Amino acid sequence: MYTQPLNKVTLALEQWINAVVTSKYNPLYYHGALPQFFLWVLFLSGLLLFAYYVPTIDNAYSAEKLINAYTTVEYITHIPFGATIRGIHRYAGDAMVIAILLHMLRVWFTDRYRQYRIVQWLSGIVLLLLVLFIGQTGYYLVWDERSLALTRMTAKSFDVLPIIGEPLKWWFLNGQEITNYTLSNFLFIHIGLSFSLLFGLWIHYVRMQRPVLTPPPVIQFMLFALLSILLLWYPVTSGSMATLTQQPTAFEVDWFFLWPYWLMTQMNLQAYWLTIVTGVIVLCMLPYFVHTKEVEAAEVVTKKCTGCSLCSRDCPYAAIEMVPAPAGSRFKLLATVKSYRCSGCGVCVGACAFDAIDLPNLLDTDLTAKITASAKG
Amino acid sequence: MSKVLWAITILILSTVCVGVVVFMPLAELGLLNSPNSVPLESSTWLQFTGIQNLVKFGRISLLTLTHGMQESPNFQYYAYFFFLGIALMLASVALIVIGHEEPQEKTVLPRKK
Ligand code: SF4
Ligand code: SF4
Repeated sequence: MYTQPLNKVTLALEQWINAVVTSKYNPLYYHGALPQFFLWVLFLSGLLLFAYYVPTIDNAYSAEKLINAYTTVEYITHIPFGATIRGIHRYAGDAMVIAILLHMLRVWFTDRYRQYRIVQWLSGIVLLLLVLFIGQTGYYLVWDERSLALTRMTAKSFDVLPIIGEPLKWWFLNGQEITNYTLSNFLFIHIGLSFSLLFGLWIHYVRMQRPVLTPPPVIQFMLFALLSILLLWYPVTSGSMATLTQQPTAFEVDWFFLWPYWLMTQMNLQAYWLTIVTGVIVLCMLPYFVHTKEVEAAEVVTKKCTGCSLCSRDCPYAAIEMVPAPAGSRFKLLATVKSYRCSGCGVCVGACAFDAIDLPNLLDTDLTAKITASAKG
Repeated sequence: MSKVLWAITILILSTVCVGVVVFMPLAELGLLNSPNSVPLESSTWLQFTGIQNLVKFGRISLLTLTHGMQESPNFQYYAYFFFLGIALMLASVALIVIGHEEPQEKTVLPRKK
């Protein structure tokens, strides 16, 4: 398989990190939990920023006594620790995108995204798209020249979409043009969609027996330390205040979130949407392009099963359900395999002390030898 | 790692960690921006010159690291987070060193009946 060499590289890296920090603190074993950690950092820092943010574009720069979105961002930047919290919020967002991409790559290299994992793969793509859009709305909220340029570029890009373009633009601007309502809509999208990530994450985890939601404290310390240290070299800045009568021509691009805007400048808008939609479809279809053998689900030997539930507790994909044993059985429960969830991983075979669960075409002794070998490796 | 070496490593890491944490309040008070503003009353609990020298050391280290970032009005808060980050980093290294001593997780296969 073409991902095998890449998989070997990640396994070698894994072993090297294990040798240095032991398997307990190897971040590669928590790759799914890393974006989640940054999400908590974003929620907490975002909550602090939200306390000072007023979403209006009125009474801009010269109206010193009146608060507006720009002056509130300015205000946040100048109160004690305001700039640092802003920086933590910004860089935690960037770090989250990096963590998601690494998570995706690792899942892809280790071949854990097909068949029984298709729901995780698809929900992961939706979550990534949501995170990108939420990050972009964060850039609109600053309401500097870049925010104005991004808002206009987005609204203009909707113009070329047939049927849904007009309503989308109306929804995005919260009206026909940029007004105070536009910024309150951006704030709503930024915060509301952030909370909807939790629902998306629930779907992402629902088929997993024991999802790892938080990395160990050591990794959390390290990640937060990196963000804190980075701030000293790269303090966050804003451009000049947005003025609706002017059209900003150039702005700094954050490549983690704003790359679609760069793409927009490289082609016409129809081609832009075509590229984005094709990219998303290809990403979603990736699992179907790779031909693999159909998985054969584990089978319970009914006569031997004592209903101890060990296999059900160990199955990583929640594929084993304990049901009441049939009448006449000496035991209370019986294990049953939900074949559509089974990955054929063999964990249950190793877990069962009664030889009561098997994988078709794989002898119990062979499997035990395999597990022993990989545990030693 | 021998027990003595292990204890020395932890001791050194902890001392440096605590030492770095001392810079956090100094940074927050803005003393790294202007070492001469160390309050004179501080001599009542620690030698005034001692604090001033510490502050100067912190300032010079950061100046070297950041090439003049000190001019920013928010420097003191960035410096606070910087020292917090360094302390957290050292704490993590100390935890990893301690964790190294604990037995590794083993795969145990049940004995088939
Ligand atoms: S082989 Fe067993 S442990 Fe693995 S997914 Fe299937 S039922 Fe679960
Ligand atoms: S571990 Fe074996 S005996 Fe226990 S419930 Fe599962 S299949 Fe049955």
